[in-house]
Amino acid sequence: MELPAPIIACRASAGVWAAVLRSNWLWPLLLLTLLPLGALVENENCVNPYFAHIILLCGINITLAVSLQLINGISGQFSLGHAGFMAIGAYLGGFATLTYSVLPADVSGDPFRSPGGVLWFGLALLVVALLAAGALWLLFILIRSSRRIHPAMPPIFMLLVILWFVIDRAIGYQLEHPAWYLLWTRGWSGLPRLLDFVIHAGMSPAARVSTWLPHSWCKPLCLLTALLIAGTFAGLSGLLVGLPTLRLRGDYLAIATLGFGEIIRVGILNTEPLGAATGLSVSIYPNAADSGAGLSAHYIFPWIFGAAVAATMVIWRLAKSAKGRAIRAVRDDEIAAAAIGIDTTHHKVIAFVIGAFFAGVAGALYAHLDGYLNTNEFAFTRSIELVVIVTIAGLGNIWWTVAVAIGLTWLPEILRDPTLFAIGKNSHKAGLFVQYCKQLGEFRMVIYSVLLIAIMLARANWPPLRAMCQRWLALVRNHPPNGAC
Amino acid sequence: MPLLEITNLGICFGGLHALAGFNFVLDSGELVALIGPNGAGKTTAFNLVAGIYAPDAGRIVLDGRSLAGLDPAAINHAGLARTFQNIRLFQNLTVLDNVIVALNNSAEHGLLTTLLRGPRFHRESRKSHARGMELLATLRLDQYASRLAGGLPYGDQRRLEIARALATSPRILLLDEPAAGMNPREKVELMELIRFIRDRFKVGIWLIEHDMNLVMKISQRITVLDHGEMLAVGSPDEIQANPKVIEAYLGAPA
Repeated sequence: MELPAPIIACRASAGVWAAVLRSNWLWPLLLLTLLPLGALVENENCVNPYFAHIILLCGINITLAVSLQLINGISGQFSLGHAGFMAIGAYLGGFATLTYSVLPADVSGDPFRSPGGVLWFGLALLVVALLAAGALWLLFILIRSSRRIHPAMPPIFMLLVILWFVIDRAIGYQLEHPAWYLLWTRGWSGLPRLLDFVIHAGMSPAARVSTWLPHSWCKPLCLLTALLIAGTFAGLSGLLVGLPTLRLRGDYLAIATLGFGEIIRVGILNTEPLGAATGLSVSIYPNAADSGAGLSAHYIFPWIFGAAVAATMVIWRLAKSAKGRAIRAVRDDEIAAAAIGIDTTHHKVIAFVIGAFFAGVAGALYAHLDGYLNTNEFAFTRSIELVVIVTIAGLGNIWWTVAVAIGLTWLPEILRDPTLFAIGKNSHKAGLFVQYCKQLGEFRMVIYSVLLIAIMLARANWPPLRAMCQRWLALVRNHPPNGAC
Repeated sequence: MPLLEITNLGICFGGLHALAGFNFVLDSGELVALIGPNGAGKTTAFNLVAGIYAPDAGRIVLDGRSLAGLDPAAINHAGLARTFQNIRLFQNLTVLDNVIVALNNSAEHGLLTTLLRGPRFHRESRKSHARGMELLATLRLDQYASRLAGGLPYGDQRRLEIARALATSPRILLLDEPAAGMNPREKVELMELIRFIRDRFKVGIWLIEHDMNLVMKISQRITVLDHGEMLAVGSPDEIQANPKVIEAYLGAPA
């Protein structure tokens, strides 16, 4: 059968685009395009450290925004707790390399020498966390089954447990002499002490294993292990939060996840080993060549953008698969999805956990980029910034998320100094206009908010933009998979 | 033994007996209707069978397996699919995706296969794509395959909902007011479609419908509900002549 030429051409070009987007070669190609950017960041004559820092922040924000896009856009769960997952990743990753990547026998105290130590810390934490989860689960089962005795028993038991906790925190440590309830109050501190014991028991064999590794492998392996630990624990906490709260919908889920984020932040704020209110300095490496501010920009660049590409790739592939289709079906109509045999909880939790995993990885990268962590950076506003990126990009739209994440990372910096990219602005010939522009920086938060409102209005109502998006979507969407045409 | 057998089904919402003492049988290839005035408990009966509510009393047995108390997904896996009174399509998915997502086997490959995209992934996505298109073609929806489901005309949305239910390869199909909001010409088409589905897919069809013309023409048996209780069971002719049914619909003679 002969089709008209334009239709054939149109189909062929759509096929090419769809094939490129689906192929296994797109991602390495994307990585290649990053090389010149990396070279720029490395060369301080081209890009000053301030610019390099913003470029690296772009990469971290891409990872965070794309992972939030999976939770909020593709899976349709309105989460406001992304900063919480990021904080878990940042503090765990930072703490792991700061404390356990130094070889115990090494007098110079150089970090990034002992990947085995970092790995052992992660494994020990995992074992103890699973034990704690098991104990909590047992307690939960006991409390729940007490309903059979009397319906009022579970709440009474819950109050007792809370009372136990309060007494333990309030007066437990004030009493030095052995009292009858010392055993009782030591219940809560058992877990940290167990963790300490397990870590110290395995640390020297782990360090010995590390010394067998080639020297040049140690630093990347340390960082990789720290990232995986950060991601794993963020993902596990996503599971922990997701299982009970994903039964909630809309505003209620938003409030629950918001509460989770704040619990994490306040929890860290009160944990001495993580620096509490003073903050955690990842960069205190006495003799390290790159002490001062985390890892140098040119070292961490491939890590940050590698993570961004990996997150985008995993989430894009997940979204464009049978699993992703089921996740989007649950988003559109949960009752109908259940009626056609989709396990709705399973799919929501998968999206939540994968999103949390990449938030944790991004957090750990952030820790190593800045070299200093403070709980204020993981406050509620951080989550809101990410939600704004996802909302502007459009729910479920991964490529726009990447673009908007880059744009909204640069925007505040450009507003701070509108002449950021102007050449020769520092020469004495710079006119009054430049001076006025610099004054505009004072109003940057006002302009920022007005711009956000304008962008949202334009996105919703500006027909050319909408039509363009739809045309592109129609081209890629639903084109037959490889070889089916 | 019939394919679907419901005995003495009942549920209370607070003090209201929404459904009580409901009995029903359905065999494959049968076409049976459930009618009754508004608020009679018809959709409640569907929701009980489909697992949206758990029944307070009674048994639901599909092919020797008890369905009472299972969740909707498990009931669907057991071989029962339904459509909804107010259309519940996945609005932001394409027409084709709406059908493919319901082909249960397509979601079976694990997370690793999804992320690595090996040959198996492509083979399976080609297969489900072909099956989805085939099903759409059977229901004459294939020209809309790449359009968003939310943008379809009303009658086609109803058809798509039926296609999606059929994609789960059910043995029993529950249609909740499939003709609601359709014009007379669409209703005639729908009638033919329902008969065609019954013969082609060999499913037992149980439908709720308010359009008496349609119900009387296509159904083999009719169950009448009023105030949560069964008023009558019988062939269309018997139901039309039943004085209790006439009273429920038109009121008692003065």
